[in-house]
Amino acid sequence: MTHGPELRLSVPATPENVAVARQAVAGLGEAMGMGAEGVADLKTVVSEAAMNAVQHAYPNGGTGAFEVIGRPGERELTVTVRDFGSGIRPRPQEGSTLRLGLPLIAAMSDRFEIRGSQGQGTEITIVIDLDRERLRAIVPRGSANGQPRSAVLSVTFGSHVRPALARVVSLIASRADLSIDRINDVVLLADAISAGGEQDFIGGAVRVEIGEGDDSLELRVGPLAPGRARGLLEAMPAGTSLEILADSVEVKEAQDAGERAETLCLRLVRKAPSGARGTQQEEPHR
Amino acid sequence: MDTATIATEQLGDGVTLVAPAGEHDLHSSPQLARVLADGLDRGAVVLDLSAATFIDSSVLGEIVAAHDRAREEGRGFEVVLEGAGAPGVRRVLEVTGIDRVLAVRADRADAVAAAGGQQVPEAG
Repeated sequence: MTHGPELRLSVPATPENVAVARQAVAGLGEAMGMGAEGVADLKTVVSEAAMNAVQHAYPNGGTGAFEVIGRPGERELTVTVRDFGSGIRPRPQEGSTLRLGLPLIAAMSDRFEIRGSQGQGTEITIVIDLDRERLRAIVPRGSANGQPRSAVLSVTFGSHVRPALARVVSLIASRADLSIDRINDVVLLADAISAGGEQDFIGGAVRVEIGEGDDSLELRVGPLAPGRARGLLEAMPAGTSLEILADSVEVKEAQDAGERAETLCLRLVRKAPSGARGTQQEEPHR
Repeated sequence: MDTATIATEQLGDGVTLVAPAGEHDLHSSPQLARVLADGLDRGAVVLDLSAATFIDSSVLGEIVAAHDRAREEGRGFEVVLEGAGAPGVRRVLEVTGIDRVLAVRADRADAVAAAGGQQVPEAG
């Protein structure tokens, strides 16, 4: 078990969240200094493992979550994708699938392992070797579990916080149909959150829950140390502020392991666009 | 952030150009399958992956399914990757051996000519 920087993401097991998993880990790989090819391989192996959870963990209309945990080691990055579903079992051939997922993971990783049994969920652990400088060791604490209705990203402190958080929130913002200027606002918010220090967050990790509403996106930042939510609000560069970027800002009292804590809740409302909308352009030539 | 889009264009000679851009995975592969099937309903298809920055095995599955259908029905189906392509896209095609199952052309104009002029696609 490593005790270094760590990224944790917990999301509902739905097809659109495969990209969230991919972007979160790509941000981590990028921050670790991996090159374009290495990040591309990383995106492939994480996508294939996440797709396995989305397609097979909760059959027959069932719902549940999957988790992605990225752990940079001294000479490797270990990524675990796990679900809490029906586990490994024989399956019939489906649709257009070529069963290429595991061969791709095998080809693009240095080691991988699948664990699971019926009813116990499935865990795929992938190791990618890399040559890089040792990241500073921080003991992580706390994790997201349960049945989230939103994405929960927890990243221990380090240079990888900003790319991982920015990639995840901008992806979720764009799929929530937030307009481009609003997406920029969300990225600025992510930057501001990433700029927080270890003294701000309880547990040595930046933890952000990203909730998608029908007409809004909500970022819940914390648990924060008492009084630190206000500190984050005031730490923005001149000319900007969380209060300007977000439609509503609220500091809520929270508890973390019996200790007093705070959660900073930032809400961005999707403004009805006048015309252009949507991220898909498919021309119906029929 | 790469937004996933799928552009289609009717090129004449019954050839439909399908050009996915950005990252495509399980979320968008059903849409790609529909677009490819619509194109084959009308004639031949050229799938240009040059602007795609990511494809996964679900996308590969739809590409191979379209290729198989085109071969069975004697319709043109060509895949193009101009230039270097995104690192993830070319590598996934190579690692899975898909680039040996179906010829991946380096030039869109060649692919369009091949797709429009073929009864049975045997590119290469």
